Amino acid sequence: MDNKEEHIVALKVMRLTRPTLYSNPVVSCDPRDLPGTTLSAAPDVTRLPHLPHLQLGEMLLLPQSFGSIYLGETFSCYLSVHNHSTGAAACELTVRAELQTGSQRLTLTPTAGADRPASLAPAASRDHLIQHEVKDTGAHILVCAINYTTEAGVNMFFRKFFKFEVLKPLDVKTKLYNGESDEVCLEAQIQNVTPSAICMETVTLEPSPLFDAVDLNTSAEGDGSVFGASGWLGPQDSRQYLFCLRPRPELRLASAKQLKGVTNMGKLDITWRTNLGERGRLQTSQLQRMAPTYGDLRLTIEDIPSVVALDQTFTFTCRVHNASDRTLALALRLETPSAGLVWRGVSGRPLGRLAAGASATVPLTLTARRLGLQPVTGVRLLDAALNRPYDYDNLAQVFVAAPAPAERQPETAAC
Amino acid sequence: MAEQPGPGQQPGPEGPQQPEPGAEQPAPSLRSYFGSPKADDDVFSRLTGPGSRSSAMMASQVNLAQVAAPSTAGGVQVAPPGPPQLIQVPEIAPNVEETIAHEMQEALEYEERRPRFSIGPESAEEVEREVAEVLHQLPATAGEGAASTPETPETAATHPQPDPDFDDVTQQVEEVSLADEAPAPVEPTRYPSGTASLEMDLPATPDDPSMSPAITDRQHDAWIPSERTQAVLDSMAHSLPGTFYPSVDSLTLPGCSLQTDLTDPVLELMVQYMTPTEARQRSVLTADSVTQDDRGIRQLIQAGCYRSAVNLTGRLLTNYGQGYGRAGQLSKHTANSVQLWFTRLALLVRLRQFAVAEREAQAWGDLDTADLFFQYYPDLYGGRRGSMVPFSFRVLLAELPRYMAHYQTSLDRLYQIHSVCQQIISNLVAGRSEDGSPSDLSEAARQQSLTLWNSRRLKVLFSVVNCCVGMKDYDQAIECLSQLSAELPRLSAGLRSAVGRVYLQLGNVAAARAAFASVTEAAPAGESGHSLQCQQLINAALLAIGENDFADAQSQFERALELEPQNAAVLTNVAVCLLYRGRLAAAVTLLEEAVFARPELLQETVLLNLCTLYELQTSKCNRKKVALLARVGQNRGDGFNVGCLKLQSAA
Repeated sequence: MDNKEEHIVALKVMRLTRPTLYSNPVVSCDPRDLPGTTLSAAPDVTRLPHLPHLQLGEMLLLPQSFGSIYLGETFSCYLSVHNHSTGAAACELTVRAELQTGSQRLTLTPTAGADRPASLAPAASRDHLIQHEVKDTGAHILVCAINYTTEAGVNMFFRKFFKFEVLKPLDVKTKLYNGESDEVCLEAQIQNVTPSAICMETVTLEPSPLFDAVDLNTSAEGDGSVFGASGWLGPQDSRQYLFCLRPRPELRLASAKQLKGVTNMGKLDITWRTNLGERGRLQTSQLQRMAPTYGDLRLTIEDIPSVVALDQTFTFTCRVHNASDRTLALALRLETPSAGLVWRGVSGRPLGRLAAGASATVPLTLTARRLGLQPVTGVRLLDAALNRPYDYDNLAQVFVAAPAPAERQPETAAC
Repeated sequence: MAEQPGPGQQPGPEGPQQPEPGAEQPAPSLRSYFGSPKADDDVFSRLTGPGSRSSAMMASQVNLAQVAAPSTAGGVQVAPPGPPQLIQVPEIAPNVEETIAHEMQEALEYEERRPRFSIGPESAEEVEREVAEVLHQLPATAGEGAASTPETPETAATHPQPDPDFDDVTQQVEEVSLADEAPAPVEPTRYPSGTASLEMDLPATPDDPSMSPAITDRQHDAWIPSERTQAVLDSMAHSLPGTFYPSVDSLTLPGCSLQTDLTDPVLELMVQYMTPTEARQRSVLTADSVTQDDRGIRQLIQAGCYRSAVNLTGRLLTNYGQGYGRAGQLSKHTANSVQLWFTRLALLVRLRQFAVAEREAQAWGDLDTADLFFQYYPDLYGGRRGSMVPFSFRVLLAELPRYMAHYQTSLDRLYQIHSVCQQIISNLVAGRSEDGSPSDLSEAARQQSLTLWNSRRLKVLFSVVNCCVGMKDYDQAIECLSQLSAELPRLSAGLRSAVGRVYLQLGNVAAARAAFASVTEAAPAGESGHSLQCQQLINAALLAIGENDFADAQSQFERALELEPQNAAVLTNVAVCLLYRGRLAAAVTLLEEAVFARPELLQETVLLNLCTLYELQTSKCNRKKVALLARVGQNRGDGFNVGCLKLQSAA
């Protein structure tokens, strides 16, 4: 049809990453030295008048390379269409931009109606900004198509292709742990796999509707985050985030069975920023847990102290829930496999009959015999009808501490 | 249509039918359009055209030749016995006699020559302004120093020995590392630095009757050599004249590595892109058109002819037997030759010839050999003590590795200098002279020296900040900036803004906002409202960019520009914002008008932005770039980096 030499319109494309703060190297010199004041007197716009020794100035430099683009970032592009002819206008000019990925083809809508035909006078330009949040990794091709008509009425058309690769910025590994009492813990390890430092802005868990999420990554001290204030995550560095998911209170008793089958726990939402606030955002897919396998009978702990003193005897409450569809006749046996916590009370006592779907509370008493973190183990429930045992060997953990100094102080005072 | 081949324009003869772009039409990479994809390396090092690349290649060949040279010359290096100050260099300079005589002359004249540094009226004015500033600040500093003296006995108590011994040194090093870990708020009280200013280290003017040149020299030249070097100096001082010969490896034996003169890249580009008549209109100073001495070098630097200045240092160093290929061979240092080397290396760094600078800096090591101390030349310098190496030379060589991305080496060296500064300060506080020897300094001289060394210590901290920002160790940079801000309350608005910029570079917008807010809180009473207001507007604009709000950023920058119409950085930033708002033509007009109206804005960074805009605007932008080149040719010396014009230079 036509030859590219005949085009009177040219298209230029530039990716708009954030500008950078740029400065020349600082070479300082004492006025006593040979160059005197000549070196420092040279004008330099990147230098701050009050702080001549500080390199980090205030001048912005436009991006000089395409740079790297990462999943979750926004791809911004400047399209400049210029009529470089000396006397001929380009009529009915339209600009279309399209982004092709391995799987799909997206039409990018430039600002301010680029697809509306308009005439471009000689030496005039038409500028468009396009923005697109990158949602795929791998090869992308930006296709820009220009249509126009010459003054002689000939339809002209050309396209430009720009290929770029979208990389993965973060490596996210998650682990879900089913705790007792329907709690689920999420451990997320987030690694920066870009070659430069990034700033983690937020990492939040959007729980599924049945759960409330508690962020365990804050501390009362300092600036509120366990990772420090600067948010800095160096290349290849990683962080462990912890979340605790608790069933919404209104669901907890009503639909234990329903909760059991829930495997969708929620999504992690991660935002980060790089140079001058360039932002990226990623959301994981639904995190799936293994459905907990507690069968017909559940034993959960209602309340238990987390710290007890050595030799202290304490009582806590368990709830036994019959999740089967028949009535169970239960007996409770207590064993002491470890010497850290010793049961007090009668082993082998019957708990009576528990109807299907019903639950009962059982108070239990322990004495702390060893320092340190001690597991609550050795609870055995026996279904008398089927003679079927249910063992609970890691019900909870209790930290046994040395007696508080407050208790000992009166003694010394007495002495 | 002369579309450049790079961007992979497709003629699209098939019309509307859509070919599979991946298959039949291999899509060219957008990266090739933009250049290499590395995000964070130095802009200008990549922009140097093929022309300068070939010179770099030549330089590396020179290096090879130079490596080969010492092995052949190895046998000649044995110095004939003689007095130490007359280490003979028989084969090189045919004009040895002349050189030595010249050296003597130079050394004798050194005292007189030094104070005369004013070149043009502009710089004289500058000196005057700075002197006025110093005079204005001195009383305050003295008062502050006196106020802080009660604390000094405590420091003195930790260093009871009259001489700095090994324990002393280790203690200093520990203090450095402590200061490193926490931005110790105790720091400001440790040193009499409450009102310390970085402009303090100006030479005592002849009007100052209290300071004799000898005292000023001692203050500025003071340095504490390493134990090994001290041992060489001691054994030399204790042996009979003429009987002490240090080993060659304990000497500094530098030599130039550039065989040929650096040429004017602006002229080369003009010859390529313009008519011979136009190109002939370029008239700049060269090494031949000035006097062959220090004054000539200053003239060249003043005119921006850094390459010619480098060439001239090469010629003058050849007179000292330290010219091309002389590395590793015996020669003698004078205060002047060391200054020449400092000037040469500083210029090479300015010219971004980092590889050449690093090669030539190698011979200097950590500037700690005995022959770089005045005591080594008792006949030449009498009883003068201290190092011939200017302090700025130490900082320059410490910073050099970071330009080649060896950040840790730079940091180590900077902290080494910092620790010596601290040692000297604690010596002064304890009433000893700078190098730890007993002294009977007058109180005024002691205070002046304390101020000088404290300002040097702070300068090193600034270099540490620069290095940390370069290596993207933002945490440490912020820590050092906070420390500086505590020690320099007068500059704290600027320093806190710098903290905000560091956070912005990292991407922590919230922390940047907090840092910028603290600028307002910190606004000291003495701060002129005008510049503070401008600083705040700039901060707000940068923060708006962090939030991707370029419209707001532009209006803030514009308000700042109303307050400081001459601030070219802000002007450039307005142009940048215009582009991000889709107003390319307005951005070009703004920058273009400024550059053509104010020749002092013909600077690499400004032109780089402008040429980037040109390239986006039209593929036929060479005409505009050549117009810029013509302006550069009229206004700038040969130190100009033509890479910013993005003109292809002839291979």
